[in-house]
Amino acid sequence: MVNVMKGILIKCDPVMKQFLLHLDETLKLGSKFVLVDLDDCHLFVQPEVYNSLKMSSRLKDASTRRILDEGARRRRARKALEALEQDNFHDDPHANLVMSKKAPKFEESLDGSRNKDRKRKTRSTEHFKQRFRKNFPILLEEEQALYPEGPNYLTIQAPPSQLPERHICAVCGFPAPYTCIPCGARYCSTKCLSTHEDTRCLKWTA
Amino acid sequence: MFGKDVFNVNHSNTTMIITEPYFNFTSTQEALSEIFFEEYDVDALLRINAGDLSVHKYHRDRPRELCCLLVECGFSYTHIVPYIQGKKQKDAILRVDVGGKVLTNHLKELISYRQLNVMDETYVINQVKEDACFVSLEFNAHMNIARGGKKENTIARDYVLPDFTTIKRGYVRSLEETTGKSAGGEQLVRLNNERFSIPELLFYPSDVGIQEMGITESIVHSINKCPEETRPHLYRNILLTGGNCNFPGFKDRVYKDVRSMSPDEYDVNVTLAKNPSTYAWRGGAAMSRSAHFPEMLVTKREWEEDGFTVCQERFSV
Repeated sequence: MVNVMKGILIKCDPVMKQFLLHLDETLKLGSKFVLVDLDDCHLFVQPEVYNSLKMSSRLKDASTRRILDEGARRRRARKALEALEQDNFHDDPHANLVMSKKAPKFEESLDGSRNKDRKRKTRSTEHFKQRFRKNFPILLEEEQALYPEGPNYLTIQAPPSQLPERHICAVCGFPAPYTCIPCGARYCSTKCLSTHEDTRCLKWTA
Repeated sequence: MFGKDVFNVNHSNTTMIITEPYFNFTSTQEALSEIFFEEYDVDALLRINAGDLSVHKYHRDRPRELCCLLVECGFSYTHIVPYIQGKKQKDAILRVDVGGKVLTNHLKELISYRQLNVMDETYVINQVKEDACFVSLEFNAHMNIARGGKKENTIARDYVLPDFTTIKRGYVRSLEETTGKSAGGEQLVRLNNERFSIPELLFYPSDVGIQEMGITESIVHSINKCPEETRPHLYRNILLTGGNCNFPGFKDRVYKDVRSMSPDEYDVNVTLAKNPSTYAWRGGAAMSRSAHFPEMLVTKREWEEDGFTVCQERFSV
């Protein structure tokens, strides 16, 4: 009896052949695909696996991953900038460390008249808050309406730079020649890329 | 601060100078004036840009100069303001939205991402910034040094964080002591390219995605908006004030960049204010003693008669 099978002959070096055999044994591509192990440099495999073997795994990974569009990238950039602009006033956390509890504190007055003062003061700040309750965008809009042809707060913002942007690795801070395909961040080496993928690509864990 | 514990100010016979940013919102100005006259009950008020005070002091120290280009690099933003014969050129004012706050936040973010979570330690990180950061004159060369191994790397430093029991304030270890190991269990942060890439944001805001010119590019841009006959004077009188000017190398970097971007027939001269953080305050002190000072004020009586309109007429902000 003659058994006819359609397949693909793969010619490769012995190392690659071992790798393919390994893929076959561990069912990496879903099922067994090697039909005949011919010799050190030749394999006869099922035709269905042709496409998945031919494509490099990096490109394959990239195409299955979600890629952020322009809008999402801009949103992320804006969020990062807002974080940078965040108020960060912080008193010396240990300025009032109490070494001895009995010592009078700086802001305590001995006759206790301070309490009355404070009451009046909080009410008046509340009062002003009520009176001038406007947030930043409203103020901006008002200003734009008052002085439409400037100069005003908006027009004095420095224009975009003429100089080319520098690319800096998002992980280590050194100059970075590469761009992460899914999210557009910059990276300088595979080590930084894997850190980036583990922590901040598409998700924000650290 | 004005209360009994500190200054013990009697407001009703005090003249107050209050500073505000350039192109402050009108409604904010109104509120500010009202608070000082109605709540604090001051006798007379001067509302002014801090830059005017600095320039006043500058011209007082150098009466022969005609113009001054003020760079005010503060907490929230940096203003570039040309003053011609003591008058600010409103059309040429530029604001770069990078200041000490952004730098501290960025450093906080970097250290938290790369080493140790310090997102809630603004106060300490601000000290780290002030102690360890410097402005690089050769950015790319410094990057290469920082990338080098243990022997070549003369930039990396260990910063010892305070634990508030034995170490009250953090400090930078010197180059020889930078080993990366803590001997007595103190917490270390290793600072490498962070030391100069943080202040670099002032010169390249695009490094963190702020699409604006840096300080030095803005200086040149702003001067180019001024009449041509004033430009040599402006290039000769660049004055740096504000807390960020305390970074080592700041002045040299401004000089180097402006020199390379400006026409070579102009002299470039950069002055770093002595004690940049308090320069404007000193200017205010000097101004309050000048002969013209009473004419600039709005008194309580004028406020009661005309309200906010008189403030708008008199204060040039």
